[in-house]
Amino acid sequence: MSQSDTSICEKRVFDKLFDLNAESLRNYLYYQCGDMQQAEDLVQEAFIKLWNNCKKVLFEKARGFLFAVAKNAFYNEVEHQKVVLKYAKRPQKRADKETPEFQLEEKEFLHHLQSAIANLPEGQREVFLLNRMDQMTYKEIAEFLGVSQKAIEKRMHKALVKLRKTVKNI
Amino acid sequence: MFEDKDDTIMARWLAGKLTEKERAEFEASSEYEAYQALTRGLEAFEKPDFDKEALREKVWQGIHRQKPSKTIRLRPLYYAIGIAASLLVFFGLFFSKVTYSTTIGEKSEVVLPDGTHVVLNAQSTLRRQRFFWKKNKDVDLTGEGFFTVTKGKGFTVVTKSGTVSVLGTEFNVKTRANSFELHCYEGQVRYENDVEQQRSYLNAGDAVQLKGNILLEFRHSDQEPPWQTGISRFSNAELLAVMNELHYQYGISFSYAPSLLKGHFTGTFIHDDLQLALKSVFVPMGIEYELSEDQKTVTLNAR
Repeated sequence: MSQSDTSICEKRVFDKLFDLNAESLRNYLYYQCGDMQQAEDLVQEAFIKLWNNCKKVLFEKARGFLFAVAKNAFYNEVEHQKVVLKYAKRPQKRADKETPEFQLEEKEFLHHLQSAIANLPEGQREVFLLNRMDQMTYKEIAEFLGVSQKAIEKRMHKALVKLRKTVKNI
Repeated sequence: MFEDKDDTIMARWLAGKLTEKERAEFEASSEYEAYQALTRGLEAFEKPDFDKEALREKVWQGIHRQKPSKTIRLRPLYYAIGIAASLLVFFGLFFSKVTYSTTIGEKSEVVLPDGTHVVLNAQSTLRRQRFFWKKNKDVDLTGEGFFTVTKGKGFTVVTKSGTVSVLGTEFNVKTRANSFELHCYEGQVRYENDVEQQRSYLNAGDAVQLKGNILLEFRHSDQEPPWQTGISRFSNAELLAVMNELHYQYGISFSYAPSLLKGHFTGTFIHDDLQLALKSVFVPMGIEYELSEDQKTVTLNAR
């Protein structure tokens, strides 16, 4: 469906863009700065800017516009914190591993993994988490960040190798 | 080690893009176990919570809270209107006139930009160009004015009964509904009118009077117009014209039978005493007059 004649100034279209982009944008910013409040403020700001420029931005370019705005604002003002991901407290599927020892081990393992992820370089961390948590393909992330797919795959590879080494040491 | 084969291979593994051969090789590698543990561990992590509707709400609130700052772009039509308005103002100023006027019973002295003095008698208006007047020293006169013109070229008084052109002089111009009088007191003036193609040169002591279409030339012996000293003088004037002058000086109106207005008046009246002025006009004419209490209306009766 061609969207080129769809105006972002229409509330319906704008809401659709919000549906499509708000979460991945918020998460991307969160994976970078680790501050949920700041990430959401930046998303809000980016969408308000998009609305104010709704006549100038084509529907297809809206996503790029949002990320560019958010990133710029981000570099200007955001203090970086450690990313903290929640991990599941629900029991593991396999019953034979539900011993208290295993659960403790598992908890410790996840704790270490969590801090390993947080310690990844920013570029690798955002790619890794967008792919794992937000189920974005490498191609999507590449478009999103405005770099080549190959570059994304390299970052992903490095992140995996680093994490694997951490896992081995646990 | 398998993971060192190339710099994207683990990324491709995670995306399930390994070839059969590569996968077999990976499963046999020393790091296989660690990667299995890693992927299992990752499954436990959750995507951060996202309250989409709350954030959407905030975005719309943010949009509505903004102060509207509308930019109005000028369209060609507005430019055209703007230019037209500017031109109108410009030409309006350029062609605008300065007006000096007096009402009933008022006299006023005006000094024009070239130093010319004009004394306006009651109920008179003098008008001149606001800008570049000295290039073309025309003034429009209705009513009566005494001019003391500074030496220089091209001073012209335009009236509906003709124009008076001068070279450094003193003269009095009097225009009325159906008469015109010009007295020259110093220097020389030229009078001409287009309608009857009449022309006259006046030296000091000369005067002309236009009655209807007839131009009368005569002499006078004044140094300045009598009204300058506060009196109006008439010589063989129609009574109606005299009453008109009384109206100009005192703002009174008359109530009379038309048959009364016979004869001509020779004499004067003063400008600062109504009773005396009425007396000096109507007693010699043999007409009884009565002034109303509000001093506005004079009723005339045959004696």
